[in-house]
Amino acid sequence: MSLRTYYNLLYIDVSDVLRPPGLDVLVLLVASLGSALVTIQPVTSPVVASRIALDPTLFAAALFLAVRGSAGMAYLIQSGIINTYLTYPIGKVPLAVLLALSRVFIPSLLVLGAPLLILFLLLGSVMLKAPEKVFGMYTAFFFQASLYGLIFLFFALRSRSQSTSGLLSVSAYFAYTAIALILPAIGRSTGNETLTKVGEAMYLPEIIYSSYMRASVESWQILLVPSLVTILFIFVVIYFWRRFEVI
Amino acid sequence: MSSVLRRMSVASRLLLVIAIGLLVSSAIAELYGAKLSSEYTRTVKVGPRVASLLVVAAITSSGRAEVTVEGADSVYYVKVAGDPFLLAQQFRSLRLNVSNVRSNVDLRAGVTFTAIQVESNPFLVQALSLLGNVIPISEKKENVTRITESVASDSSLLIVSTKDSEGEVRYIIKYSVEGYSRLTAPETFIVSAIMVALAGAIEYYRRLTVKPFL
Repeated sequence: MSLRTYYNLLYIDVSDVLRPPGLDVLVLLVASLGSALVTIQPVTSPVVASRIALDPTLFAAALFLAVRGSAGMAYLIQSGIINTYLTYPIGKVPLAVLLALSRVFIPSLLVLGAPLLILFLLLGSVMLKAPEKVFGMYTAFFFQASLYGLIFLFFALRSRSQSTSGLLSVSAYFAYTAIALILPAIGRSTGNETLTKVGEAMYLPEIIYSSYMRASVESWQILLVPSLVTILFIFVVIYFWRRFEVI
Repeated sequence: MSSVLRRMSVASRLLLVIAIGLLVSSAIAELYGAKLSSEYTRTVKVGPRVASLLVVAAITSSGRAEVTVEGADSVYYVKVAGDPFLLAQQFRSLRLNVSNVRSNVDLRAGVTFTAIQVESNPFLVQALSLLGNVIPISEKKENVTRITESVASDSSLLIVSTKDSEGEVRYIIKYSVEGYSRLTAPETFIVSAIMVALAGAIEYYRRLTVKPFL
């Protein structure tokens, strides 16, 4: 059980997730149009630039994760390819971690990184004013995308059907976004400060953006989405390890 | 197309795609991209009961505003820190009687100019000092006042003009963006060409060695 075994399996699964032309078309559109959104305005703040570019990209990344990550995982189960994966001489826990890496983390890093790479090339002097803040925004968007991706992956493992997992993923995405809008609205109308803050914290990029813009942000608001991601990741791994069985 | 892409590694595919994306966004930027300066002129009616406010707010850019005020008896300015979109809310909390708000957004220069009429009262300047440090302008040449002040992307410049008699005040604002530069079209071509060459080199290397190269 060398590292080579893990790498080979990861390589095979990543190649499946990133197979052409799906990723290429998505990255082409996201990268060119996302950065064009920035270049039509004279953005001089790296934080504003990365936010303008990544906000629409997050939507594309979520759909990519729902279709390639989640529905692709369901296809692995339906077609029986997962059996071949399971016969590999690695444990179920490392396999679950590898699947989460290849189906959620690597695609979201790539899709979100593409427009930023173009911005760094095109607006180098602006972006290099505060590269650590750009990285902060990138990490925030990455956590948000991973949160969606892990929920989608769980649906795929649970439902084992491509169309069902796709539908459930889209509904979960919609529900999450709607709740993140409804909670602050309820909180403001009833004067419940905590509810407003929870609703705002459900969208991490906004929180990080506000903290860079010197607005008041509480530390638990920054930690909400990353801790949800950690909990979901552990949950998905445990589910795959203890409950998941191939028919 | 996809049969070609299928023979390539992820790294070289991404390099190719990003090279094309760079060219597209650079072309859009050349044609419809950011302007580095913006001008705005407005004439407003001002009297003993009505004062005039002019807000220069940088939404995405930051730069320097040169404001010329003609015909006002006294001119003050305030630099307000924080999100410019919260200003309306701050006015409401100061209980200023605001009317006739005219906004002019120059998206390509990333700046907005807003002319506002406000009911004048002896406490107006005191009320505005809650937003920031109110600076009166004493230098005046033939009823013309000039202010040059920098505006950052999370702040706005608020100019207050009052007049003891009925009349008109004219604002001329020249705003120039600072700290902005992007690659020119020829430079973008060179960078894209380098990326395509790099993708070619990766593919060539992969065919020399049998090892998979991600």
